[in-house]
Amino acid sequence: MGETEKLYLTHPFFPNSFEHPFEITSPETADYNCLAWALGDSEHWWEADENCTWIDGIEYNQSLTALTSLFEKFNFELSENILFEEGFEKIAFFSDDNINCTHVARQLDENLWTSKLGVSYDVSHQIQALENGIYGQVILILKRPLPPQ
Amino acid sequence: MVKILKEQNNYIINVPKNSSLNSLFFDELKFQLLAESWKEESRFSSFSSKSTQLPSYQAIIEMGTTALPFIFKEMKQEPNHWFVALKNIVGENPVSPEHIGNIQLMTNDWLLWAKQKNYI
Repeated sequence: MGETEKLYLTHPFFPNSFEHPFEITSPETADYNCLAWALGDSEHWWEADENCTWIDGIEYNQSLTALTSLFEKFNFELSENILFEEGFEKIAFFSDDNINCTHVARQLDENLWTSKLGVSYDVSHQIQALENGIYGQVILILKRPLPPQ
Repeated sequence: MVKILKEQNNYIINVPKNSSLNSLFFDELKFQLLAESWKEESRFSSFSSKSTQLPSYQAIIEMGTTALPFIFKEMKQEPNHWFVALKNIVGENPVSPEHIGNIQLMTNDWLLWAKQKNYI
């Protein structure tokens, strides 16, 4: 990305992006997915699949239950709300059927979240910008304490 | 020069009068159209197990060994989730266990295999 320009993405798969465009923050790459990005890993594709990174003992599917167990391995726990809390990192699970996860986003601050969109860009966005599209709705929030500065 | 124009849901192939099209041309054209369709449909998919079930991807698998040179060409330019198709077509998996999950290293393992088998 250029240092003086900002690039934005809107797409029909995300109807709300026409009102709240995503800011593109990386080149397009298939190197990692949204799970990896939520965990701070930009070198692996995390998924319950034989070609992807996974943890032994975690249920082998993309259900909200399985992904909650996965993130619990990284000190995340259920959060009661989506509000920004100083000293905590929050992630949001999206679902279009209340059973399976379609996407994970990571909170940046009071207003913005960061997402890796499939094999496409990293973007920063308002949480509602991703809703009502192919990922469905935010269905679950997890949080973990940030390490002391 | 052959030109391909997209007109709504059809592709119009404009061929100079003095040239002919062979089966390789149509095989590559079929692959490219399927691959472009798959990449557009799966671009924002968070999970490869979902995107590799799309009809366009399955149609590439159905092309069998014909698709292999085109898949490897595509992988060299732009690594993506071609591993399911390759394993289905050739019935082998040359990826080192320690490379699983790293798309770049898995791609390198497959391209090395393709070179050894004279596909590239």
